[in-house]
Amino acid sequence: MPEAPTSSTSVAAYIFLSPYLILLSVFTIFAVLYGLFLSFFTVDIGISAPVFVGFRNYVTLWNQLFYSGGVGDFWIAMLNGLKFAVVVVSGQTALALLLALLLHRITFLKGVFRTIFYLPAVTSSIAISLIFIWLYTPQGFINYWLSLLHISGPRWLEDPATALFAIMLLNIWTTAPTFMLFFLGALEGIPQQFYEAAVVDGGNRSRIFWHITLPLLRPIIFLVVALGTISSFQVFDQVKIMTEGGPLQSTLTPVYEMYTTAFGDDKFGLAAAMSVLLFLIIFAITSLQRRFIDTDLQY
Amino acid sequence: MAQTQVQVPAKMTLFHRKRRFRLLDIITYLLLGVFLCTSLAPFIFSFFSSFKTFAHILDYPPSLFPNPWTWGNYATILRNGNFPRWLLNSFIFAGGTMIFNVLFSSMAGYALARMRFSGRRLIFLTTLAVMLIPLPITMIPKFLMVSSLGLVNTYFALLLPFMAQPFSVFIMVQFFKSLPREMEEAALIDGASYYRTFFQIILPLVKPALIAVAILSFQGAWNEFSWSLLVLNSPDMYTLPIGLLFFKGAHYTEYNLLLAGSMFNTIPLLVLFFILQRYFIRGIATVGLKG
Amino acid sequence: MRRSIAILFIVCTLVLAGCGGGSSSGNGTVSSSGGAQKGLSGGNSYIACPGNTNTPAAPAEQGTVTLNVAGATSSPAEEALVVQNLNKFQQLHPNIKINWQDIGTGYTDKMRANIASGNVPDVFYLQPDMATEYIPAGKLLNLSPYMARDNVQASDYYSSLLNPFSCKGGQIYGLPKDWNSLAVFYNKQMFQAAGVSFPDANWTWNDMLTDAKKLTRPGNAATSVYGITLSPDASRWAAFLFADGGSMLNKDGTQATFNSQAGVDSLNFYTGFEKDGSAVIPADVGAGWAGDAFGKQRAAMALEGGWLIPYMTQNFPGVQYGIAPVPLAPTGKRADLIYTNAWGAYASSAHPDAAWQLIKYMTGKEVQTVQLHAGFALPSLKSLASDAYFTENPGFKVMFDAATYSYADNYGPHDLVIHNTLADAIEKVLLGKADAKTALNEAADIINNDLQS
Repeated sequence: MPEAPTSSTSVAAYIFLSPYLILLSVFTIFAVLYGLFLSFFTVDIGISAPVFVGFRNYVTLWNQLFYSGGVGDFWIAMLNGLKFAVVVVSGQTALALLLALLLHRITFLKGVFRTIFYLPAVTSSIAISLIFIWLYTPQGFINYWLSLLHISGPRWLEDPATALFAIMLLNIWTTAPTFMLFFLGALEGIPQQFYEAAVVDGGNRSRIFWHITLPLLRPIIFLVVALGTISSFQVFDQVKIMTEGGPLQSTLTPVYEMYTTAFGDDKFGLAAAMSVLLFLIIFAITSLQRRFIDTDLQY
Repeated sequence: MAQTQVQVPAKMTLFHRKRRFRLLDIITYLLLGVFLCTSLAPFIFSFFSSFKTFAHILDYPPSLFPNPWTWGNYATILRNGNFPRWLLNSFIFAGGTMIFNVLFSSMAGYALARMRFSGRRLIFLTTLAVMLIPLPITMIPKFLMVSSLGLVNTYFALLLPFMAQPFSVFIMVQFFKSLPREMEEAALIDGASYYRTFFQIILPLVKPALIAVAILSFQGAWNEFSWSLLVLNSPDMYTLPIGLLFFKGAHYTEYNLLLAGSMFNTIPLLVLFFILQRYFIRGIATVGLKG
Repeated sequence: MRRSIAILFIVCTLVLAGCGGGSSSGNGTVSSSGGAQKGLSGGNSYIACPGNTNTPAAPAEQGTVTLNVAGATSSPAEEALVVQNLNKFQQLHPNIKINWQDIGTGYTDKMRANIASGNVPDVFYLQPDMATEYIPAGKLLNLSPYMARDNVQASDYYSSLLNPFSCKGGQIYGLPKDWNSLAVFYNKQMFQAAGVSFPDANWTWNDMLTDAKKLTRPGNAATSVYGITLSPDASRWAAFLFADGGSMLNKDGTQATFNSQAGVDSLNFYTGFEKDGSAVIPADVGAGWAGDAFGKQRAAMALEGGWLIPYMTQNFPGVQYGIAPVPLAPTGKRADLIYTNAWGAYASSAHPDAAWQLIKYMTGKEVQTVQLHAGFALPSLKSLASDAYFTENPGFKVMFDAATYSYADNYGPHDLVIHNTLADAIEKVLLGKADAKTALNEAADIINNDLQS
């Protein structure tokens, strides 16, 4: 039976918690608030003193919507982030689910498959990016294999129409395995009785999948979709290493834009404003997803 | 973590087929085989191509095996004055993160899972919420904070943000919750303090969780890129990923060198992964069970 | 009621502060003359001086001193040259030890971060855009007192190379270590095989276009050969803009003027090769940059500077090439670009005198002669203009003589935005996403926005 909290328990608890709490408050909570605070200033890297400018940074971002040649870089980045989220989240969720279902059915070689599938997730983004720069060269392996199938491969990272897609494919390849493990864990946690009862009730394989398995997986699916969406807007490493936002801003992502605004243009306040907007947009999207998938996570 | 074992009568063999090979099985293994190839192929091609010379790295049509075979790429990398330093920095970063994270998140996880105190629910919910905050939101303020403390380009700058991670705390909480209470209660009745109980009795019981957290922390820090990019400014302080980026800047079309460099970054972790894969995978799968 | 008024008040303050007239970002430079500086002599600095320009020269130090030195070299060949010179310096000055770090790509960003955290090398490469930021902020060591003490005259150096590194009052914060201009490198063997005569001093834009077409041989991904290799780079196209009588910005530097007819015509010329199918972007032939594509003999011509020479010697020694001046525009004139970098020192360095000794040496006659004889860069010292190397290497002389019709590739405080936006515009046209006029107008829009903010 749980005891009522005593003061000594509380003290002990907080001592155990203190390193974590201190780091959490400073590097996450305080940082978030500090970021919000910074967005109202013109700040550089530390060479001159910050200057209070109110909403000016937000006004600048708003004005970027009205350039004559199309919207400004921040909104291009947000749009790219959205495209990225749509394609990658559906792709990786579907692939992860498929692989988990396939693995769940077998026992022979299951461990081998599972281990090898997880390899792309273990490797660092720099290593993978360097490898794929080479694979994606117009005369590289990928186009060669495509040519064997009589498909003329595109110029991938050189072509504004396909560069973002190339990075999307790369992302799905590296993140699907982790989500596959989530799904696998969840599938293995579904008690056999459910399936047995369904069989007794006359269910066939497909009905069982749609009416039992999938609904039970709903919480996990929401988690995968939410985490996937959040990380889609966080894409940075591959862009920095492979394309630096090009060609023609086609691979500009929100975080990369924030990075170049801060560390390239020396405009930290503007970058902070971008991060606030980014946060609000992501929050809105994940809230919508939650309503749509309609589940509550149990703790 | 625990798998429900249920006796399945022989007739109910929808899901644990041991005898007949059905068409569905063939298709399953075929599909799995395709994905096996797509998971492995890039690594295999890159590994072999890292032994090609510069003249042949972009041959068309591309060949799998190098001809001629050269160890020169790896030699160039090892001779580069900075590579050993980068390896060392990565070890310090990854090792340090692992040690501190395991320590701090197990302590925090224990408190959250097992102790009663006011504010417990708030802290737990905050942990969950923070896991969903995109990291880039705090990238700029964290950098300015570190910079104004004069810690840029130091090991501190690398380690501090990663010494206690919400996800690790979450994993520890889940594992602690699954422990039977009797052990602790017995120890407490015997007069042991919370601290003794924790270090001598509880921790050994959650070894698998500790290993999972240790591995994930090590892997995360070993592969970490964006924060290192921000806070490290001189080649002697670079970690391996940032060193490779810098190396790419100098040799951007010498793909043979770049591939050799990536193998450098990848192979140690792959070896670690193969040896300890049970723990890796278990750590991740926990989220699936409880989420 | 009171609460909502308070909120309204706060919001209004924030909005007003935001919409209020621009206090500019910290570095306080005043707008330059927008027209790019022409030639090697003349011109003035537009950079504001820091608060205190009255810093005396520090005395020489006793005992061993260690200097941290940083730079960003463009290739291992260049780095080897720098290291060689640094070692020579250490032999001449046994009490000074050098710790060299090549920071590589992202140099300006990294240096800025270093300056902000106070963790700065003693001596380092200074690029013009860095000088614009650091001089007014007082982060660079004032070299003028040291020059006066050691009898190094500003007039020893070409003034337009000094201007980016000095402030309005005439104080000097960096000595230019060399400079470079552009020329057309052409592959002699490929020209002969195609029966095309070598470019001479009077060749025109049209000649260049027809030559490129004749030199192009279609093939597959591995064998196709092109007349020229070009990158979407404002630091190349600008030469043709100026040749056609155009300019980058107006006199005050407040308005973009490159979207004139001269701009459209020169951009159509520059992208005309691509339209003819006679140009290739380096990446499409598996090359990292134009020089690489030229070395791999996938392109018969390349528009590059002296830095290509050691690159070719080291990586592609078998290729026989010549160096021709940029062709004449329809106006009958030609124009080129000047690039320069300097060595500077940190204002708060613990060893200012030692730092000065290094700068003096690395920009002095001995090192510049070594650089010249490696064919790597042109000397910023007037005294080397008649060096024998030029007679022996007429191609290199071509690049030196280009100075008379060259403009500095630097356009004031907003230089980076200008270069980046124009690179995008050129790329858009090269990829067929827009025509020259639209692309330049859009670029002008963005740049004007930045100039006036």
